[in-house]
Amino acid sequence: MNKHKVRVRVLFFTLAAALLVAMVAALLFGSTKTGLQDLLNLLTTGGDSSVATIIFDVRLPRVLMAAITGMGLALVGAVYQGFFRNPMADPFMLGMSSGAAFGASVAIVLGLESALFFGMGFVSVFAFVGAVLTSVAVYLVANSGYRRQKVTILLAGIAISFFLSAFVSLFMVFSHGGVQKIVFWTMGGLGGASMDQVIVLFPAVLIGSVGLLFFSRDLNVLALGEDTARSLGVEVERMNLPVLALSSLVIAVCVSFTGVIGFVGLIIPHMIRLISGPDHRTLLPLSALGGALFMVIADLLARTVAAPAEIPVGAITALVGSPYFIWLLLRSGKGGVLK
Amino acid sequence: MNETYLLTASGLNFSYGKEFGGANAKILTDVNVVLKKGFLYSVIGPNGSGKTTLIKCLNRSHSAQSGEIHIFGEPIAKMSASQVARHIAYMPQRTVIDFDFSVWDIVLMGRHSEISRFARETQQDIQACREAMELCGVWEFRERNFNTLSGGEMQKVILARCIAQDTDLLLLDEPLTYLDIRNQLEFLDIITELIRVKKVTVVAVVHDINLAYQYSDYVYVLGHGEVIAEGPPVEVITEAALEQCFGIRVNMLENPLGKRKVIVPVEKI
Repeated sequence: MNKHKVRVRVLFFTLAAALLVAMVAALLFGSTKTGLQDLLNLLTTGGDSSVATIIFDVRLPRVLMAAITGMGLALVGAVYQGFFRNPMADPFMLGMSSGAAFGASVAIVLGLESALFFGMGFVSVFAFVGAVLTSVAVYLVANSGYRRQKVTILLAGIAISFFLSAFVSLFMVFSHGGVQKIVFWTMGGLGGASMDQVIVLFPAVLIGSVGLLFFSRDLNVLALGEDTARSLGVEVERMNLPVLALSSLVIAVCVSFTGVIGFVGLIIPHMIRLISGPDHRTLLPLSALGGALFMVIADLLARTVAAPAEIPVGAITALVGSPYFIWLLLRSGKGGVLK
Repeated sequence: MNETYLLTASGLNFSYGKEFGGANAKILTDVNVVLKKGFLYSVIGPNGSGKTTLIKCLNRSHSAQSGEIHIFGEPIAKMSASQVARHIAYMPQRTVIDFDFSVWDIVLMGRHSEISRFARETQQDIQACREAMELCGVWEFRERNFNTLSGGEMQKVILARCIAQDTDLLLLDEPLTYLDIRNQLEFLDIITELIRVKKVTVVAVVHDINLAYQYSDYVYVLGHGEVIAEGPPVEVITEAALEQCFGIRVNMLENPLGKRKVIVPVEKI
């Protein structure tokens, strides 16, 4: 038991330190060369104003957005895998990615890309509304059917997701100018990051995440099955709404600013679980840290590897993450991660 | 309601309605159950006679369409899940655990309703788990991954989890089904010891009529969702009753080694 505690603690501090280093590195690297000395000058004497603009106005919001979305996606992924008792669960399985894409496409087709709504782009606002409405629709459909089981939530999510994706395809066909924008939006990326977005994103993800941590021990017991969990004192039915609402809040804000960034929410919890074990009390915070670290690195690669061109960050997460994850699967004994 | 009884259930009716996708098939009809402290109750009956459903109704996993359940005179319908968890522990037919929890983690989950949300387990929780695990002979497995245990070891760990829950009543749904014959006897010895020492009450769904006959203090015989007989096993488990209940002819032979007879199935009718 104590060996395990030490391992969790080491993992926690390693991830936290690595995140800090990665964030500083991400501030320094980019198409314009800046060094650690420039950053130190900025912090002590004020330094060069053009360097200040690049580091604080361009890169800082982007690095913060990467960290916060990575945190939110990975934490919700971990929650969903426990909540649905399904190792394939990821944050977008309630169809919120399609809902957000639908909302964003509507805004693009209506020509609202440059319009602002309280400082937010209309595309983001529409995407957020689309994502939230989708999760509400999924919840209502799943709750009014005959079988009120979690599988129903998943199936309703898949059905509604396909339905909305069909609309997105239609928009692409019929709006010639919008195709590229819609495609680009759905690939996901942090190119549009701004401090205004960070100010909205951070509290929403923080509130959602802290709220979800509240259910850590319930999620552990849920692994024994719903009947047993109920007999051990978990209010199985009553936890559905808060868990889904908090998760949806986190995912809706993330997806509306960054588009669909896959992989992080599915794989990071599995990677963390391999080291920390399945206890959600440690799995959730560690996944949040791991997700943040992974996204900061992925975004740094996305904007530097082919600079000045930018690679969609979702492509990076999958390109880097998939082989690593397959290696983990092959390496871990006892049947691997996905039993 | 009478408070001298641990649990009373009266007039339970249950059918799987629309929410289960069933066509209102009636599973339980006017079932009455009265449980006293410190006894082993067996529930026997053919497949589909409603044994599991009865167990699930008693711990409120399923809510009966009509009927009332009281624990020490308190209506169970008004209790929170954690209040029910302090009175009733439940062992399902089979436990499948998705992630690689250790045996210790699993047993500690028995204390779920005792530990508040962000608190860590107390010395008392740890002690309760350790005692339960030692009683069940699984203390040595505590650091093992639950999913690597054998079927018999798993059932004993789950029993330890139920005991760690420290309840007045244990509901065991076919606890012996996946056990070999030695493990069946060990399991029943643990139960017997538990009843003797802690005066808990155990209700077990049992398929092996001989074991029900030898070990239980009281038997409920279910057939088509109704209690067709109840009482001490020597009175209830008779050749005629088994013929009526299971549709088989049996011989009940004198047992040279024990007081109670041995039941040998002969043929189906």
